[in-house]
Amino acid sequence: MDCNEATSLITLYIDAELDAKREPALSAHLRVCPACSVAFSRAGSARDALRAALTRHRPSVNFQERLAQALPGPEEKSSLPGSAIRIRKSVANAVAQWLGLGRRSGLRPLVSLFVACLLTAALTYALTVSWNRPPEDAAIVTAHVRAIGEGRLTLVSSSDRHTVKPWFAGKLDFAPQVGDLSDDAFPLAGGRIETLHSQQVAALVYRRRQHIIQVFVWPDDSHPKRGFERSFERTTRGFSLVTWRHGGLAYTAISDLNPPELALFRDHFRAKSVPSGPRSE
Amino acid sequence: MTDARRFKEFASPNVDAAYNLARWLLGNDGDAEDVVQDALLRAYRSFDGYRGGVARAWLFKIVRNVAYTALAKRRGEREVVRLDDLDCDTDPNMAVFELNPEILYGRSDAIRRINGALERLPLPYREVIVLRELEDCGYKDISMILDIPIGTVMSRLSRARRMLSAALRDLRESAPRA
Repeated sequence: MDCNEATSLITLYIDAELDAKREPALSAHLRVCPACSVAFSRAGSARDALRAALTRHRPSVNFQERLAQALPGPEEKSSLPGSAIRIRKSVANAVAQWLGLGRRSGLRPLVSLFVACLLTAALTYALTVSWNRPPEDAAIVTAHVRAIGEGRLTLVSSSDRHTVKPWFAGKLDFAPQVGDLSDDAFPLAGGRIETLHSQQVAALVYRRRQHIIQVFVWPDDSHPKRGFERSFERTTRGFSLVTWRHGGLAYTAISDLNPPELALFRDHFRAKSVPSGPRSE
Repeated sequence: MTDARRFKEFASPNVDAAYNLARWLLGNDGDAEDVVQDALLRAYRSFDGYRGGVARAWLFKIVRNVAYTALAKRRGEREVVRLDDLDCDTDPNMAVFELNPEILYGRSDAIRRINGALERLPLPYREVIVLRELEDCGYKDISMILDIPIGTVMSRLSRARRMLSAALRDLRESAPRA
């Protein structure tokens, strides 16, 4: 293969349009051709940077409301988990006050925890009973909500990715990318290990203003390696989720941020990820 | 009213994307809102004829058709696009974006410039960029939405990427961050 052909294949690869049959040939060329190798990693970052820079126009709330009136169909209910979190906090506070527990009292955390457990159980029940989405999303939402409600978002708390990333070594048999997005106003808060469907996954925690973004990462080699795959955005119960794959790992970000901001987070995260070439095996 | 409910479930997740496409095509919020509203009503009416497949792509096709009708009315004539110039790409290789990603991080001047460049890109190039880069459509979907062969999708995308890359070429990396 010459470099001209490789260039076209790189484009197809970036667009997730390169069929599995031709990937090995491209891998082989990239291994021996430093120029194309550089072009390959630059192409991916250039594209992610551009996607982060271009505006995703969103309709005004006013328009969405008008649309809801104009179109036939039932009104959507408000999201359950968000309001449940607020209820949990205010109930915990109310109970603590009623019991006459002051700020420095050692009993207050216990009361809050007890109330939180009750509400978490109720919330989980509500979510599972009325759930009509694949289990994976349900588990992610529950994990996200619980970690926030129980105040155990991070086991390693640091905004330095050189502290967070190595923390996972020896605890997990895969190494998640941990991007430094502080320049993009998505500072890293830390990480921990979470269990989803009896599987240990990495949880990375980022912030955006007052919002929390969690990125759950697990190995996913199930599909033929397609490199820059299209990512999968959806909203569930008021939360935005987005999933993408990179380097044999699946990343799912969840937040109560609106979808375009979470998509922006994804673009910045991917742009800062170390590029993974087509696998050579 | 199961039909209405089904349609709402189908359409709701795609409204934002439909608006984004319309907004990039029409250039202002008011026209984009009108187009999205018309397109959704039209989609609802022909919902029976929707046989599954990629939901967004089907909706995008409707949005685009309504948008072009609106554009034609606005100008009072059909936009004449010279197809020979359009799809004749002398370089047979498919281009990717050639720009330094660092230039786009946090630099509002670069971000303004690239968005301005996309706004000014001729419609046939603009729409492939919006569909591919902003809405994550595959070549096959773009081919269906624009009603052009896949080969044309690829060459138009190539040319559009070169044009956008050129817009940032003279920006100096050493310029201060805005």
